[in-house]
Amino acid sequence: MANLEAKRSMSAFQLAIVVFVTCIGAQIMLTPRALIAQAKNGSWISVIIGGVLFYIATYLMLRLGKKYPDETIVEYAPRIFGRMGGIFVIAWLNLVFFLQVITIFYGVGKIITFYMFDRTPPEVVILALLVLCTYCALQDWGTILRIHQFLFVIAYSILLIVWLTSILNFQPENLLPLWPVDVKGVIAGGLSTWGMYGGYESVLLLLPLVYRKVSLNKLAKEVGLAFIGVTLLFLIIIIVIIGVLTVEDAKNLPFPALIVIRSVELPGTFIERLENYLLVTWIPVVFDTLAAMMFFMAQICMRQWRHADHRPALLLLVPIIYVGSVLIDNPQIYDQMGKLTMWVGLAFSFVVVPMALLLSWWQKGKVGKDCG
Amino acid sequence: MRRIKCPRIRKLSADRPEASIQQAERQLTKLQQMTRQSTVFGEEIGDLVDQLRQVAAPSSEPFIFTSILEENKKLLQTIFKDCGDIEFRNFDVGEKSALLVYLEGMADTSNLERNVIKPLMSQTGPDNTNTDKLSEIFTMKSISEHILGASSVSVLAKASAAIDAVMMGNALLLIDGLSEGLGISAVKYVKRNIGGANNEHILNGPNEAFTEGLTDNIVLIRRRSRDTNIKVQILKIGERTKTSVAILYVANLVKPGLVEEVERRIRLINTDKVLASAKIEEFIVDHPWSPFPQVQTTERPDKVLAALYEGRVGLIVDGTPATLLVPCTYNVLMQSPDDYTIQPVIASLIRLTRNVTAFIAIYLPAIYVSVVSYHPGMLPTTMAISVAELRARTPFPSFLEAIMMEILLEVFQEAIVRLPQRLSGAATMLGAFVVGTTIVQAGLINPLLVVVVAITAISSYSMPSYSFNLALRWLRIPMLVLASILGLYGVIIGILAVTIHVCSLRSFGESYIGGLFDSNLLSDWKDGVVRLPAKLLKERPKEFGSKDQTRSGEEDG
Repeated sequence: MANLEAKRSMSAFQLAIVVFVTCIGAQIMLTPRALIAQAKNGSWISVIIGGVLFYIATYLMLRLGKKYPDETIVEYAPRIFGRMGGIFVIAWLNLVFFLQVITIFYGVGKIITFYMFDRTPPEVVILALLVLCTYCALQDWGTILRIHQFLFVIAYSILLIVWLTSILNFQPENLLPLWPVDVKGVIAGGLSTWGMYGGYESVLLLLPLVYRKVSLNKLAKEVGLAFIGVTLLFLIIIIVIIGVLTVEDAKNLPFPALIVIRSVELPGTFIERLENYLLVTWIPVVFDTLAAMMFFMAQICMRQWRHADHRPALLLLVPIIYVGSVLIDNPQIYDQMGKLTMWVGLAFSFVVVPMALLLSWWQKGKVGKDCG
Repeated sequence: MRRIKCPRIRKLSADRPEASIQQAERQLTKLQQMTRQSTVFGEEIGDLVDQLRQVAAPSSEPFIFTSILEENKKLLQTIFKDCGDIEFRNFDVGEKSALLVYLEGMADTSNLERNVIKPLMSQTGPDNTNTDKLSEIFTMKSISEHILGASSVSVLAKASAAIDAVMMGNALLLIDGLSEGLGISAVKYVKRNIGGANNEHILNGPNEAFTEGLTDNIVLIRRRSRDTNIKVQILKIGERTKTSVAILYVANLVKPGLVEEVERRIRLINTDKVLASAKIEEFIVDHPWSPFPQVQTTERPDKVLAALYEGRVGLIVDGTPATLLVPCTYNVLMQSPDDYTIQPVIASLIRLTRNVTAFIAIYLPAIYVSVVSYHPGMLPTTMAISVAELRARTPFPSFLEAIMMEILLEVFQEAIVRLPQRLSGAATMLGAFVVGTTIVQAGLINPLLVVVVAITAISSYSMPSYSFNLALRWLRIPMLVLASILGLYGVIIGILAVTIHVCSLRSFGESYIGGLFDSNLLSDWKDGVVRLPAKLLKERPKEFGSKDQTRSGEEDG
């Protein structure tokens, strides 16, 4: 069948949307407690530090991708690091996605059963979402891109509107002192926001779709805008949580964002129990992150195994993801898993990618010299 | 020695009457009779085959014409054996015999008499001075050019073409001494007059609708535009029916490759009969298992013309007033011709309302079931109490109540569609007042649910496309099941699943969602989700990829 729709490329703005929706996932509900416990009143600074830090990491990835405009990291990593080194790097990238996916699935199962179905096992919730994400990830990239754009417009706007109702209980004095006393904690908090920003690694797989028609500068600008958007959203969430609950309360609650929204009352309206509304708008946000990451995992496997279709790889990954997310059966393991994911992700962004960039510069320089 | 006692041997027929000799004789006689009959049939078939094989013909042709009229007549009579409505009219053309073959009721006999038989007989009669001259140039071509008065004639050398021409209502002229026929256009049959649209009513604007005749339908398009770029390509589909399917497009607008793709898919149709355009639709869509319509259906020529000027392709099927338009997107299904005859602000509001009602039509019953069954805390306290009171009076769980109401609604809708028009009013009354009120009074269904289902039904009726309305109705049931199992979480899962499915659909390669959720096609929103004034609609929708994106001034549709 002649497919007349041109979808072998995407615009810089569309890539920015993908970065935005992949970064914002379950962590907006799951991470704030740990961040506030670590950075206290300086959490907002940690969020900004994280935004800048991870934008730099993304920029390095854009530079790396620019050197190989028609290939993904799966194709050029073996050329930079050698065959075995390349396989190791690709497996590392897949591990970053895998760890994020299973921790998110666990977190979603926990929150949904905690607030919506207290007598339902989390496995049921995880399974339903996993089936949905698999159905989405089985589609082609054109379809997934459309879903991202749809959810970017619909889900995020509703989520923001619902969340902003909590301003009714906001008390600015809870934010004081604005400037942090614990600088070390704020910096460590900045690093720990990786859990919030994680997902930007997707650019390593998508750049060939963009570089055919967009320059690096334009791309850096658009992705920068996406990071500004993500940072602003995280800032709103963290500031409102501290403003409504205080640092002391927020760090002792498992899911402070939901407690914040639960305390909102809108008398004279039809709306009650706002945490259900927030969860309902949060599920699509989580879904698009998970679906995209599962698609990327399958794409990495497909390219690595030199298959033409990503679907068999995806179907192979689904039971592994399910078992992985079910194996995290208590909050301690979840915390440990979160830390492991963070360090694996940080190391990939700040060790592997810069090293790849340096090696590719060195290799290209060497080729230039050899040619005379 | 022990003696074995044998039972008395009896005739088999004593125990089993069907094994008697008489019975066997009767069966044998029957068999002989059947054998004789089959021999006769075999001989008859052999004769027919012999008649057809008298002249060697290529495998694609039933026979080839000879120069002997009697032979040609015999061959045609063999082909049209037992076709009582085929007329064979013999007459003389000068010294030669001629034969006119036509389908009674499909051909205009007075036209044939006036323009074929009379001129032929008079100009070649013994008292005519031109007879000698004519005998020198006595070919089908010269006859058609010098003698016949018919407007459209064609020389037919192949027997299959001649047979097709007769079956289409044309007349076939054969003359002794000539080994080719002449197809004379004389189609005239009883048909419906052009009337108003039955299923697509609009308040303002034209109201002419297509009929069952292909040529009449093409005329309805042609009459509205004098554009020579509107092209019509006619194909024949159906092994037996050989139904004509016209492909319409605007040559300098249509996306390159689209017409070829449409033609390719139509040519791939392998079926014996095509009686309605819906059959073609099922063959050419990308996802035949999807509940969503992937081809737009209309009976309005103005709508077809507007679509052609957006770079789309129209398919008119002979015998069906429902015309198909491809590619089809969600946007075009949510538009009505009325949107262009009212103020743009109002049209925009109506379009937005349609999108909201489409959502309500699928999800409202599911949201009701999930909130009432799993999350009553989301309702205001007073309402939650009153809902609980109402529910306490009904014996069924809310899911079962909702399913029962849905089934009842579907039954009523089916009954109203199937009943004669005079009775459908009575059925509506019965449904609305008798059953609706009674089931609530009997305490079988919660009155709030009746309100929810009524709102849902009315929402689905507001869709401009009936087939899209059916898709929405179909989706309600899986949504109800999800809501009953997983509450609001299930509803969200369902909403996302439908979104994925709709985003994955393609209509002739174009996304079904079109420019709705594509940041590269945001300009399509001008005449999509909303409608801007005609002055601002300077560009054609990008989603159809027309060659010329700029409209030359006025709005096309």
